[in-house]
Amino acid sequence: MLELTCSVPSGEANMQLLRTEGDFIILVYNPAREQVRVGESIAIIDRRERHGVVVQVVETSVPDLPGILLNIIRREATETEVIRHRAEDMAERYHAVENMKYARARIMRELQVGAEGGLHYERWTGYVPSRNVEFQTISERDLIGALRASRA
Amino acid sequence: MSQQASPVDYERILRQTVDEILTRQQSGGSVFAPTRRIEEYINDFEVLSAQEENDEANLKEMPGVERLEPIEEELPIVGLDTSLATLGESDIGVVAAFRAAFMYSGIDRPPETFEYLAHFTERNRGIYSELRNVIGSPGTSTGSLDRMPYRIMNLLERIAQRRTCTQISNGIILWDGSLTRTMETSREMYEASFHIAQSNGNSIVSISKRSRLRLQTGEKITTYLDGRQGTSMAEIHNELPDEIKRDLLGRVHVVKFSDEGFTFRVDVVPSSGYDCCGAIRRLAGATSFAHGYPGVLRDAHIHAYFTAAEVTALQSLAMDRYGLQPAEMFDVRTHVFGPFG
Repeated sequence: MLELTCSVPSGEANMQLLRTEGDFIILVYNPAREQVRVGESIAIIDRRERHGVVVQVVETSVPDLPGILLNIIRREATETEVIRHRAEDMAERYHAVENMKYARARIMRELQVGAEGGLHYERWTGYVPSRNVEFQTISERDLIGALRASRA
Repeated sequence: MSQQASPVDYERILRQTVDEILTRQQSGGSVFAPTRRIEEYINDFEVLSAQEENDEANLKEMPGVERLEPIEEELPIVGLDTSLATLGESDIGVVAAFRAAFMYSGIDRPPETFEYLAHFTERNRGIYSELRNVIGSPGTSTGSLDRMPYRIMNLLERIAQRRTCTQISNGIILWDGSLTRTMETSREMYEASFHIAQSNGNSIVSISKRSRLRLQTGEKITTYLDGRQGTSMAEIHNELPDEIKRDLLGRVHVVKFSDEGFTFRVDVVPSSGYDCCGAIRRLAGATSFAHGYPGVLRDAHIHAYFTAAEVTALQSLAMDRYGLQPAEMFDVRTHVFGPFG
């Protein structure tokens, strides 16, 4: 078993785990607050179980939200711009929901969180975390180091 | 010397006053249960209105039908529609969003929407009275909190209707629904609006997609003209029973505005110098129709409509604004009926 001294943040996670599909995990995030890039690795840790997975992002896109088609049709069909009288926070929230993105990520490794918060990388056993999770970007150097060590 | 009252600024009321009133004493709750799961959300808040309940009746005689000859002229038209989204319940009340959409035709003016979010609790019941005072019709709320969004929606629609009366001159104001007085919308409330419209030279044409009025044969009046060739109209006001007529504040017609379109109930309050038929003919000649329904009103509905994505955004905003935590989703129907719930 390997140990890396990465700390898992305990703060409020913005990104959300939407669902799992075999060895893929679908994440939903607000691009105004978080950046997710294809190729990057993310640790997804179940808060209660202190157990998780490392995933690698293979695709980012926009989700097909219920009603989004109507928003787009309404906007496209209107010849002149609509003057909207509404509170600023309302406009921001509409914008945030409409511009949500999702990331499709492949499970690479399983994780156990040690007593001091260190991450122990293991072969994936089929475990998937619940939706009560926290996220941490794993650097390429740390991941490669862990994978190399696991082959040693 | 008598002092003339300054005209009420309905623009300012919709932009500022309504929001100020609706955002009073919103805090105090702790949890929020959205109305529906997002994936099951269906946006159709058309509820059976008090107007329609009042209108259930059969006509005394078959009305005479005449061909609708449009009067083609440049004519300013403003259409209004309003919408309500009941977003969910907190532990102390109900959260709802409201939107009013104004669309214009015949004048160079962009569409406008006014939008509000409110948390109704026992502590802020006074919102209803304050909004009634805004349109000079004092009254208090005694109904359940669950009905509060509908009552507020009704008041907002009346305020928005007042604004339509001031936005154009010598044109046609298009409203959705019938011009029928109800417990919540008094004769005086409507007549004040009519006065403002007429003082600006405007006619009011109010179009109902549904009506409970029927012919003696049992046929609905909204299907009466459907089988006829071409456009047509019939004034049915005089054929209505007296107990219905006393609540009607416009003259009631059925109109088929386009050859292949549906028939609609149309209530009219004409401007001075025009009769009802004249107002309908001017409308027929001045705007486009979608399946017989005025395009201006259709567009107003489209812009007033809350999509599911918007409802999701507003539910999330409500939780942040009012400091509410999401409640566990629980649907007793699912528990009792399983997959048939």
